Amino acid sequence: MPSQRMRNAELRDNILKAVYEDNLQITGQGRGKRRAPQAAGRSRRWTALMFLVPMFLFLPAMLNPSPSPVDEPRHVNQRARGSAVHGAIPPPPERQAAAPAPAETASVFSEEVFQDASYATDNEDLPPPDCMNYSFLLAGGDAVRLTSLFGLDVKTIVIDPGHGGIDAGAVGGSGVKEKNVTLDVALRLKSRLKKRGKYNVLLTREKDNFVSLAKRVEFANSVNTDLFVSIHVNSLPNRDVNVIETYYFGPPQNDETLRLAQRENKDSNYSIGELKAIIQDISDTVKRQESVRLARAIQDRLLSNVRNYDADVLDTGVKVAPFVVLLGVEAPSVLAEISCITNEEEEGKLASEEYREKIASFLEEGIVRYLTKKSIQHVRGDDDHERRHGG
Amino acid sequence: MSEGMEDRAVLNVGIDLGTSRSAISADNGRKKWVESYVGWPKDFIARKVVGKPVLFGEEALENRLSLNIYRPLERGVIKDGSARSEEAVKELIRHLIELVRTDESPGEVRAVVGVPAESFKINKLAIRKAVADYAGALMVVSEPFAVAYGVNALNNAMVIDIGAGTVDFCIMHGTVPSEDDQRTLLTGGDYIDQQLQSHLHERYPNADFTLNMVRRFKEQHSFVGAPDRAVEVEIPVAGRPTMHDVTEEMRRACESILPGLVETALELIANFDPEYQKKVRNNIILAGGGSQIRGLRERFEMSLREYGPCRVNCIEDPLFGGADGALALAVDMPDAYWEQS
Ligand SMILES: Nc1ncnc2c1ncn2[C@@H]1O[C@H](COP(=O)(O)OP(=O)(O)OP(=O)(O)O)[C@@H](O)[C@H]1O
Ligand SMILES: [Mg+2]
Ligand SMILES: [Zn+2]
Repeated sequence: MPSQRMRNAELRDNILKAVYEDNLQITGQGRGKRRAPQAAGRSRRWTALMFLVPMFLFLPAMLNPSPSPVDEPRHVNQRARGSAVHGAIPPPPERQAAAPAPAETASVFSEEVFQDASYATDNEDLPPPDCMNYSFLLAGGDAVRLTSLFGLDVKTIVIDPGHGGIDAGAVGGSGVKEKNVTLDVALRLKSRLKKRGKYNVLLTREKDNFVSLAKRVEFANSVNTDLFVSIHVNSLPNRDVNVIETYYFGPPQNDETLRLAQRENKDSNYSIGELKAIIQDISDTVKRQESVRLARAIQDRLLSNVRNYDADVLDTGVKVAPFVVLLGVEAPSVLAEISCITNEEEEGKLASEEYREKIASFLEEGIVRYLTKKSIQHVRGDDDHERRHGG
Repeated sequence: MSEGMEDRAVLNVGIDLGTSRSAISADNGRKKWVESYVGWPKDFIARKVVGKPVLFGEEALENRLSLNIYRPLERGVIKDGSARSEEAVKELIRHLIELVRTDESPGEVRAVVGVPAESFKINKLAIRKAVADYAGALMVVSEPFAVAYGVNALNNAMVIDIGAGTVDFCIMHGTVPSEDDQRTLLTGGDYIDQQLQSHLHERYPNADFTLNMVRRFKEQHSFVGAPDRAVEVEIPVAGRPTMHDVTEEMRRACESILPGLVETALELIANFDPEYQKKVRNNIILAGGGSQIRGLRERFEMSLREYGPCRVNCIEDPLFGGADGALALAVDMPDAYWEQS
């Protein structure tokens, strides 16, 4: 629209100049430079800027959705954050505070991204071998210790309390933090297993500190662990729900995975043929079979016991997800989501020592169940018969 | 490059840095957009899987299991001021510029970057720094202002940019809008998604859906007011795809943003003298992805009508409105200003 442009030429010039000056101010070059004609507007902008500089310094901290190292005020929920930032504007009605799962966007080491994917994953037992399409599985190779094959030798169990330190994990509505629950349950589980006298039980962290996933894996491998159990607490957008789920490592089984595979094969240094063979190979590894069994045992014990406390708890079963922490550990490894912190009732329970002790005992049951079953079954090496012979 | 000086010595680009989508328009005619996701492999293993040091948009999402994913402008501001989020902004800009640059493109890039109003207030310095590496000269403006400039709504107009993280209101009266001319609500597309998700959870507790799925449903079927037809979507139940009617939930979720829109528009307009109010009321422009909600323009206009005559229009190209406006700014900006920027 050239004619309109012409008519607006003067307006435009002023605006362009103002944009330019605004930007000079941003970089701090503004002071000595020319000022735009409208002096009144200018001075207003200057005051705004003076006001904004401190905002710039403090807001990141206020906005930070992940917890700060020092214990944050417990009730800083989304709503409070929203109004802190947006001043006079009231946040939208009701649910806004509740709805956004704080971890919908992934932060470093938040496994919530995985949970997202797990929705799309069936609960079927074993994925067909050709779904095992991760070239990075190659990195680990078949490093399962052969001794653990025969079930007689389980000595070291590594328990991995999820999150810690600056990484609080999921936080419930009244401030209960996943990192604290996982640590406490892990400590209880440790002392329970220790009492049995047969196991060397180690934790990836013993206190409230941050440990990277890589370090956890490294630790588990360095002590030659025989089992690895990672403990987490779920958080779901739907606050009414409580689910228990136990994962072992594997790709999610859906179209996305297949596309991922195609792309990876394209980029990887391996031919399709090589990959297929390796994938086939890995899909049969002992580590995987054992992880499935361990996951089933834990899921089963957790669920049937928790049912006594919450009849409505959902059983989403044993699931597959590519948690790096499960991949890296060379022993059978599972990750258990022992509860749902976004569920108010559950959060309340998790706050009680008694309930955490219970959960620890359920996990213990699951682990022990697995270990005893395993010593009976190790000879067979396939797991179809598990249900029939196992119970 | 040819010897004739026909070729431009600079590549002008306009960038719309959004919470959910970022778009770029260049004066070589190229336009691109990506979803504003930046993902880095979680570790060396994941690095091997994805085969790249950093991934963007759709591709990042598809590989989310292997990545630490950032949506750097969560809720309209650089997410937590963390180095990583700033880094993500930087990568995103670099990626966008690469997308429009051709072999013939001149080396020098001039960029005008439109960012959500909140981010403009809070993070503009950070954003400037992030972009500085890739553009010889750059300016940062607020997104609704870029939109307004692009559609030549320089005076007597109100732009409402319904984005993902935020809804930005901006009144134009012949100059760069000040704080008082702008408002931001958090009831944007993400908010609708959350609403819809929780409505769906309520109605279909056994169905499995992610926020991403919900967003896709919304983008296909969003509407307010009377439905044209029933909205049915496929959601897995126990792993099996099953059709679900979501008409009412969709309507409720989309309509949930209306009261805020009306109230805030009225409030902003009320700050001006009556003569001016009338003009602004007749020049309201809806922009951003959320402006595509079927029936929204009509319903919004109807509600405002209760307070006096008005006219609401939707911007033609909600995807590139911001980037095009920013590009117009870049092109129109006199060389002298660029040189000193
Ligand atoms: N047809 C549609 N109906 C409803 N919403 C839609 C439609 N298409 C896109 N959206 C929504 O619009 C939003 C994206 O819009 P836009 O690209 O303007 O946002 P943005 O610029 O990334 O966000 P912001 O301005 O807050 O930073 C998303 O929430 C998206 O789901
Ligand atoms: Mg936008
Ligand atoms: Zn966790």
